[in-house]
Amino acid sequence: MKQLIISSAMCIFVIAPLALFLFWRLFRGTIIFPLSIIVTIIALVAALTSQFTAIFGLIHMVWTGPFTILIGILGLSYYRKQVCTPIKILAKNLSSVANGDFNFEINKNLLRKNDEVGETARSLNTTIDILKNQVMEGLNLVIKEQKTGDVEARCNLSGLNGAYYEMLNGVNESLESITLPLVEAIGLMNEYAQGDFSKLMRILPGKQIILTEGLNNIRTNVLALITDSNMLATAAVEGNLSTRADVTKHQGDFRKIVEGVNNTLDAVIGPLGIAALYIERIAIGDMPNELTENYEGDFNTIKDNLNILIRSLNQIVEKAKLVAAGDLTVSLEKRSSNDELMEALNNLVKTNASTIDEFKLAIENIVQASQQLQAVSEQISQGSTEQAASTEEVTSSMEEMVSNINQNADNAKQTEKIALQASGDINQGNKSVAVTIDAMKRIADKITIVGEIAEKTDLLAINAAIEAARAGEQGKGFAVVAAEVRKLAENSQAAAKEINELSRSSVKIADESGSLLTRIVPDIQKTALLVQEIAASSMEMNSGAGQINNAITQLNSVTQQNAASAEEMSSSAMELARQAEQLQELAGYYKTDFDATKAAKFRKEREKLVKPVTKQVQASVKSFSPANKVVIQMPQEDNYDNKYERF
Amino acid sequence: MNNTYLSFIICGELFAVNVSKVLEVLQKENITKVPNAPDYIKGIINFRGEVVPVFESRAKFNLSERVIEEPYVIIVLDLSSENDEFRIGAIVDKVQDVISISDEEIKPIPAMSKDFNTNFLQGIFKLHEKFIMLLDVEKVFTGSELNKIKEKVEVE
Repeated sequence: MKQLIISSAMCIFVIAPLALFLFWRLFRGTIIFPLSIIVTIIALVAALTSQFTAIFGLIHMVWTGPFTILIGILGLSYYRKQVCTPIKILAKNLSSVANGDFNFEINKNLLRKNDEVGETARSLNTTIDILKNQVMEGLNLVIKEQKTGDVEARCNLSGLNGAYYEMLNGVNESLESITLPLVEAIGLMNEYAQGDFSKLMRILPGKQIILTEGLNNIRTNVLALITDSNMLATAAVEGNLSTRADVTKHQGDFRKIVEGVNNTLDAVIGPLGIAALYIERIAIGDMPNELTENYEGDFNTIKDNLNILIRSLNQIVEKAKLVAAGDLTVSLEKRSSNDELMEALNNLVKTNASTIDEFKLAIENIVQASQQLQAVSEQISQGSTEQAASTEEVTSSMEEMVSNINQNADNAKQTEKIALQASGDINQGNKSVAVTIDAMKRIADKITIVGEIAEKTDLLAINAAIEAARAGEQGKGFAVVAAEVRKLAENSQAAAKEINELSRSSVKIADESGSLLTRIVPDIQKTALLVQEIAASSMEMNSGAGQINNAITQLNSVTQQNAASAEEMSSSAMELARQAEQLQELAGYYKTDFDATKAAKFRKEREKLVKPVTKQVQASVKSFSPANKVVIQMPQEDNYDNKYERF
Repeated sequence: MNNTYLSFIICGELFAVNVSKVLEVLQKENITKVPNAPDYIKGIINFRGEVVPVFESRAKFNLSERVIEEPYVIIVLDLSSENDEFRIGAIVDKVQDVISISDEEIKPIPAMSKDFNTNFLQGIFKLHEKFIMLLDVEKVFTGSELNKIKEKVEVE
């Protein structure tokens, strides 16, 4: 017994703890440890049992079996719970992972274990953690971001190692290989959008080459469109109007654009060509007919304007033809305030018309004046003849007058010779008009003097009449003579005035008619010369004692000469009138506004002047009654003597 | 009294004086001006060796003034009385004629005549639709006026 207790005690308190202690040192933190404890216990039980057996007999060996089984069961159950069950759990977890299901949590108790199961659990946890939170989360994030269009989203590689790192890095690189060409393409398309086609898309690998081809096609086609557009524009600007682009080099809407430009050019150039042709013809005077085709919009306006031009030019031609045919009454209206052509043409026609008018008026003047010259000269001639006849009946003192007349006639002949000679000189010299005018002016002067003499004579006659009246009965005869003398003087005055006016108007006519008068200058000269004879004869009247008888005698010779002169004047006037009528015919070719009004007015004015003279000339036909010889005092002084010239 | 009159024109109007009072009709003479003379006295002339004053009829009869260039004649009138020889010249525009007028043909002056004093108008005579006013030369100047003129003349 004692041995048993000691050996049991040794087993229980010494060997078993020691074994436990050893096992603990050797197998702590492993799954063998619980097993080792079980073994120890079994061993202990076995030992004890064997001791018991040794002591108490073999019967106690039977206790070994149940004890061993019991402890075995207890122990292995405990072992199963501690080891197998966790491992199963872990295995289940792993198969979830294999199916892709990460929705579990590893048992916390397992994680806390510090044996191989615990290690395994912790490793599995880490693995799951990495897979779930880093790899899958990371991938999901990137996928989500890419789906929202964030092409730059990439997987977060931090904390990843080995294959996981490789995998996610590979994902990043794949993304990169897709987004990079896209970004490039976008950049290039932006440049194209700005019109910069200088760059080509780089050749992309593999199937991505589609992108390259697509972009480059766009570029090529747009460039072709640009080239052709520029070509057409340049050609149009340079004036190559027949240039067109080749539409076959383009497709689709590009072709439509090019076709459109071609059509535009056609639409514009066609009408322009026609307009150019028309303008060319108009410029050289080959007037085309008006355009009848209808055009669109502004082209129609051009067509209308061309037609207006053609029409107005035709009108100008018509009017020019009228003017050429002699119609100077056409009026040419300005088509606008800047129309210098019509203004100039109008001025031309008007100037010519007014010149012709003046020409016609001058001729009219000549015709009228010459007719009246004729009439007056005839009347003067007749009156003078009758006057001369009357004065012949004056008393014997008239014989002195006769001798004076003869003397005057001689003087007149001499003067005539001199005058004719002078006339011949003048003709030779061909200064007809100027000399004529000069002679006419001198005639005017002399006639003025004659007029003044007649005026004085008039006054003398009045004084004589006064004296006669004062003398009463004795002065009666004298009074009659004086009255008659007065009338003669008045007639001379009137005739002289008329001759003067005729001379003046003849001077005016000579001035106005210019070269026309060179043909009739000899006639006018003759007239001037003859009238000078009248003046010269009148001069004779004033010589000697200046008796009225002398005046009458000389007046008689003057009037006789007047008659002769008037006859010549008459025939000259006829010639003048004839030639002026010829001129009138010529001028009549030109139709102007002249004819009716001016001529009639002029004629009326001339008639007014002629009538009183005609009356006076007619009234001078009175017979002188025989009277006593009367002596009438002439005023001694007379300034006009000095003014006479000898020819 | 003579029936013969000398007709003349002043300002377009016809006047006449009896020839017994007319000595002569002169054309323009040199009129020498006399200072301090009445307005109508234009000056003096030399007539047949004598000094004769000259008056402007337009001024005397208050008609429109004479323009310098207008022609005129001087009618020398005889205003002598029995013991006093006096001649005066009248400046008129023009002398017209010497005509005979019988007394019956002279009409009296109507009440409303021209703007001047009608004292010295003897009457009116109608000749060919025109009126001739007959002047009484004696009554043209008053006595005092004549004296004034005579003074001036004799001094010269």
